[in-house]
Amino acid sequence: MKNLNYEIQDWFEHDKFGVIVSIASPDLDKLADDEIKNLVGDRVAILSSTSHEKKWAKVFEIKIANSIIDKKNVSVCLGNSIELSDIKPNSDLVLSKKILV
Amino acid sequence: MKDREVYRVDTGGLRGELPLTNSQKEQISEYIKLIEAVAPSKVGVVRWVDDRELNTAYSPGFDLLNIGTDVMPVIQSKRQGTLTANTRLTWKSSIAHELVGHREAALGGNTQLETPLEEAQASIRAARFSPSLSSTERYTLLRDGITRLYKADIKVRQVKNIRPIKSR
Repeated sequence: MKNLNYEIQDWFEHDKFGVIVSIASPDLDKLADDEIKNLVGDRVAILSSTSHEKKWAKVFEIKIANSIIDKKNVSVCLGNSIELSDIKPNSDLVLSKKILV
Repeated sequence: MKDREVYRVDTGGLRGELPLTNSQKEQISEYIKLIEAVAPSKVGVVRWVDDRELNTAYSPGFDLLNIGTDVMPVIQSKRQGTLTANTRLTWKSSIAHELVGHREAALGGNTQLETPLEEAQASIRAARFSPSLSSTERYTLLRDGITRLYKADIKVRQVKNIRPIKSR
C-alpha cells in the first residue's frame, strides 16, 4: 500500500455541494476516469505541508473535466466532512489507495 | 524539492502558459456574460486558476468553470511547423467550447458518453451557436471537432444528424 499525495491546486465552498478541492497532474492525465475515481476512493486526507497536520475527509463525489488539450482537472467533493478553513495553502490531498502501475 | 511558491502550468507548449492579465480576465468575463445572456442559467462557479496547475475545463456535475492560462492559444513564434486546430483556438473559442459546447449540452441532457465525441460535439456546437465569433474562429472550432472525430475513427456522416449540433 502506498500513499499518494497530490498538491491541492484549488479549494472552495460550493453553495450546494460544500467543500470542493481540485487536483491535476500529468500522472492523472494518463488514467481513465474510472481509474482516477478508484484511486481517489471514498476517503482522503488533507495534509498541511507546513504543520504536517493531517485531517481526514469523506469523499462524496468526484468529477473529472477534460481541457481542450485533454488534460484533466479532478474535482473532489468533500461536502461538509471538512471545514474550508481546515485547508491551508500548500496542502496535499493524500489518497490511500494501492497504486496500479 | 519542489518550490511551492512557484506555480507553473505545463501544456507541453500546446497552449498559453502565462498568468492572465487583469485586462484579459475582464474581456473573458464580459464574454461569459454575453453567453450567459441567452443560456438557460448563469454559470454556477467560475474559478480563475491561471496561477496554478489546473486547466481550463468545465465540470458539469458542479457547474464549475475553471479558467487557466491555457485559455489562451500558444504564442506561434514558440512553435515550429503547422499548429493543430486545438492549439490555435482563441480564448473566445475556448470559452465558447466550454460553455456553449459542454455546459449547455449538459444542461440539456445531451452530453455524449464517449470523450472524443463529447469534445467534438463541444467544438462543433461552439462553432455553430456561440455569439460574437469571427468566421476564422468558427472555422478553427469546426476543424478541431472534425480532427477529434477523425482521431477517434468516427465518420462525420455518423454524427452529422445528432440533435445537439442542430440547435443550441
